[in-house]
Amino acid sequence: MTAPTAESQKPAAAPLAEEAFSFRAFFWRWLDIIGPALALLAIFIFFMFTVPEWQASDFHNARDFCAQLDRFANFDNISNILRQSSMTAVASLGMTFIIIAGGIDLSAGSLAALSGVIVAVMLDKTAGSGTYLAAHPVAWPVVAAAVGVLVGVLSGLLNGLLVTGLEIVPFIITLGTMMILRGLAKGFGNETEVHTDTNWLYALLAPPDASIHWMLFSPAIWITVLLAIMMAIILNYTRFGRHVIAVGSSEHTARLCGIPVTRTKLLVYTLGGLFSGIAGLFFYSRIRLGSPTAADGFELDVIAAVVIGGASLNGGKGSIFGSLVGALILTVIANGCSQIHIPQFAQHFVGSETGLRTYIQQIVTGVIIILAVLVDRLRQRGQAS
Amino acid sequence: MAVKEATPRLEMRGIRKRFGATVALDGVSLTVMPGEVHALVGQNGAGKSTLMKTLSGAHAADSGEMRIDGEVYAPRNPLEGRRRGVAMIYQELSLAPHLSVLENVLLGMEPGTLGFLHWGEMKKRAREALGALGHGHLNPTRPVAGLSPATQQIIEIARALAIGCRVLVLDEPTSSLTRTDVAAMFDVIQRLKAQGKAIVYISHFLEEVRTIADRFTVLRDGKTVGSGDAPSTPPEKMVELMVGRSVEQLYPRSARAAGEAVLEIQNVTGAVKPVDASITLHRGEVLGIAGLIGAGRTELLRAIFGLDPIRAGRVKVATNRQSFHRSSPAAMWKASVGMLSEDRKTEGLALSMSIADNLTLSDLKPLGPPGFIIPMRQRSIARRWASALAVKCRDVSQPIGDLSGGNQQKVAIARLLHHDVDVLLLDEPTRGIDVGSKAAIYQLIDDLAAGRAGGKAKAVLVVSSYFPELLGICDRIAVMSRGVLGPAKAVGEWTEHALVLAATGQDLMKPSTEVA
Repeated sequence: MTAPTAESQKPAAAPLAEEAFSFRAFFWRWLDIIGPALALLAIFIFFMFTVPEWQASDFHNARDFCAQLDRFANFDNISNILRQSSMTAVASLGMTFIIIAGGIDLSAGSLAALSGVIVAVMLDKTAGSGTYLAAHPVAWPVVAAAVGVLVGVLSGLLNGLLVTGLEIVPFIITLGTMMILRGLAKGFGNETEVHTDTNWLYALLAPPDASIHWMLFSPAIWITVLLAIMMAIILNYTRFGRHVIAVGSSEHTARLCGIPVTRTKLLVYTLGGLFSGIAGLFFYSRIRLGSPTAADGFELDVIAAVVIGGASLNGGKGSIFGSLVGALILTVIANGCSQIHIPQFAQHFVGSETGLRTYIQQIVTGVIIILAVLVDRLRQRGQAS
Repeated sequence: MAVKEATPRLEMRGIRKRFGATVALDGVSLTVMPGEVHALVGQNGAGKSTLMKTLSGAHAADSGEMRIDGEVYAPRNPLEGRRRGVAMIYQELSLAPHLSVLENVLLGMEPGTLGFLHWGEMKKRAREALGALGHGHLNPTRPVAGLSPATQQIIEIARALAIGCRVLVLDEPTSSLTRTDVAAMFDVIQRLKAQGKAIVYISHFLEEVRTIADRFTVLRDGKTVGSGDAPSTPPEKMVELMVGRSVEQLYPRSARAAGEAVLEIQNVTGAVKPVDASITLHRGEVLGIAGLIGAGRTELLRAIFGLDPIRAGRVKVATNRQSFHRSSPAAMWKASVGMLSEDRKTEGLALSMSIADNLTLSDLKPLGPPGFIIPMRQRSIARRWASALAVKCRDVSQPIGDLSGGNQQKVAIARLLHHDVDVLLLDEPTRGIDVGSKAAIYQLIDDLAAGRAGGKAKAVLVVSSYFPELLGICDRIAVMSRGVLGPAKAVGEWTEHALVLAATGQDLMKPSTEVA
C-alpha cells in the first residue's frame, strides 16, 4: 500500500464501498433534521382544531369547516405568533452557538433588559438625549439602537473573558453576570421604566403600516430570518463554525488539533451578547419603553428553544433551524393555550371558557420541554441500533 | 509458609474468558494460602487485570472454578465479591476526598440506627482497622483530601479490613510511592500476612516482588506460564517467563536511511515526569520509547507537543528552525509536527463529530476559500484518505463513534497524513485495536519512514508498552523508567529481555535492600 501524503499527491479517488440503502438509517437521519419541525406542525394543527368552538353543522360543508380552522390559522394570528417569538428566536441564535460549544448563558435575559434600557435612556424624553431625537428623528434612533446592541456585545465579551480567564464553569459565571447585568439595567433605568417619545424603532415589531405594507411581516421578523441564515452559514460552512462544534464535542481533541479554544469561546460568548442585545432592542420596540425588569426568565425560554431544537447541553450538537423551530413551538403553545376553547364538561375544572390560565400554560410548556429531550434520546438510541 | 494439607484461602482453577474473538484468559490457575503474599507478574496485556476483574466479580469467567477457603465462589458482581471477602486496591484510589478518614474507612457500612450514625462505634472500628495496619495514630476526623497518596492507600486497605476481607488484591501498590513509603507499605503487607490474609500482589518491579512475595505466578498471553518461590528465583528467570520465545512476524521493515535531525529534545522536564529527557529524532527513522504504563512516556510526548507545561528544557524543531520552550499544539502543527493521542476516545477524536471532520480538524484550510468550508470538498478529501487507509465505514459523514477501534485509529492517524506533517509523534498507536489494523498501521509507519508514502521521508516517534512491536518496527529504542529517559540505542543492541529489565528499573531498585 502506498499512502498518500502531500496535498498535491492526493490518492486517486476510490469510492468507498456503497452500503445497501437502509431505510432505518435514512428515517432516523431525516428525523434528526425535521423532527422539531414535525412537532411544530403537530402542535399547530392541534390548536387549529381546539381553538374553535365546534358546532355539529360545521362538519356539513367545507366552507364552515375551513372558516372554523381559520380561527387559529389566520394570517393575523400567524403574524402575531412570529412577532411574539422574534425575541426568543433572535436570542436563540447566539445561545445555539454557546450551547454547541459546550457552554451556557444564564445572563441572556438580564442582558436583553440592559440593552433595552440603554436604548430607551438614549431616547429618554425627560433627559437631554430626547432633544437629539427631536433634531435627528431618523439618525438618532439608529445611534441609540447601535449603542444598546454594543452594550450587549461588550457584556457578552465580559462573559467570555470571565469564563475563559477564571476557568470557572459558565453556569456559575453567567449566573453571576445575570445578577450584575440586571443590577446595571436597574441602575441605568433608575429602578423604573424609561419612557421615550414615539420614534421609528417602534415600527420594528409592530404590524407593518401602510408605508411598509409590502413587507407582509414586521421588520424584526425579517431581521431575525436574515441573521438566522447568516448564523446557519457560519455554523455549517466556515472554519469558525467547525471550531465551535469541535470545542463543544471534545475540548481535549480541539486542543490537540491546535484549534484556538480560548479565542473560539470568547467569540461565541460575544456573539451571544450581540444577539441578546438585539433581543433587547426588540423588547424595547415591543413594549415601547425601557423596563429594567423586562425579560425576566427570558434566558430560560431561549435555552428551552435551543434544547427543543435538538441541541445537547453536553455540547457538540445543535442547529440554528432547530432553535428557531423551538422558539416557535414555545410561542405557538403560549398563543394557542390562551385561545383554546374549553369543552363544556371541563370548564368547571379549568375555571374558564376560552384560554387556559397561565399556570396551565407553564405546566404544558414544561412537559413539552421534557418530552422533546426524551424523544431526542429515543431517537439517538434508534439511530445507534 | 502454610502446611501442605491446609485449605488454600484462594483457589482459581482453569479460568477462561473471551471477549469476542480475543481470548483474554486461557485456563489460568492461581492458588494462595492464608498468610501468603502471591505475586502476579506479566507484561501489559498478559491478562492480569482480566484475571483480577474475574476474581472481584466485575467479569464472569466463561469456565473454570474459584474457591475461597474451600467454598465455591462465583460472584455475580463486585458487591457480592466484597461480601465474600475479596477486596481490590487499585492504582486509582477510590476514596471520597471531602469525607474524613473515618467516614472513608466505613463508607457504605456505617453503623447506625434509623439512618443516624453511631459516631463512637465508627471511631472505634476505624481505629481498630487503622491500628491493625500500624497507623492508629492517624486522626480519624481529618478529611482525606490533603493526605499523601501513600496514606490514602493505607486508608483504602483499612477499609478492606473493616469489611472483613480474606483475600486482598494490591494492583501496583508502589508505582506512585517514594522509597520510604514503599518501606511503610511493605510493613503493612507484613501485618496483613500475620493476620492470615491471602494477598495477591501485582507489580512490574521484580526486585520488589522478590522482597515481599512468598510465591509468584507468571501470566503470558492469557496463560499461566510458570510459578515458583519468589525470593529464590532470579529476576532474569522471571523475565524469561514473561517474554516467552514467540515473536510475531507482522513487522515490515524496509531499508531506511536516517537523514538530518528534525526534532531535538533537550533536557525537557515536566511538572512531575519526565525528568531531564533528551533525545534527537532524524528524518527517515522510527524511534521507539519503551517503558511501563506510568513511566512518563506520555507525559514526555505531551510536553513536547505543548499539551502539558515544560518546567525546563527546550524542544527544537529543525524543519522550520524553530525552538520552543513554551510550545502549543497550534505552533507544533504549524512547525509540521503532529501527534496521535494515546487516549483515543476523549482526546484523540471528537466522537460526536463525523469522520470527515475528525480527519481534517487540524487543517481546515484546504477545504474552501479563506475561512470557509465546502462540505463536498471536505468529504471528498476525507473519502480519499479513508479509502487509502482502508477505513471501513458507510460514509465519511458518519459519526466517528460508530466505527471500531481499529478504524477510529486509522482516521486519527490519517489526520497527521492530511496535515502532511514531517514529524509524527505516535502514542500507543496500536493499543486496543485488532490485528488486521495493527498490521496496516505498521506497514504505514514503514512507508512513511522509508519515504515511499510520497514526499520526503518522515520522522516517526513511537511510544509503546508492547515491546515486541517496538523491536519489530523501530530503528532505535530508548527506555523510560520512572520518569527518566535512558539513551537511545540501535534496535540490534536490544532484546526484549533487556527492554523489560531496563523498563522495570532493575538498576534503580538494586540498592533498596533496606526495604525488607
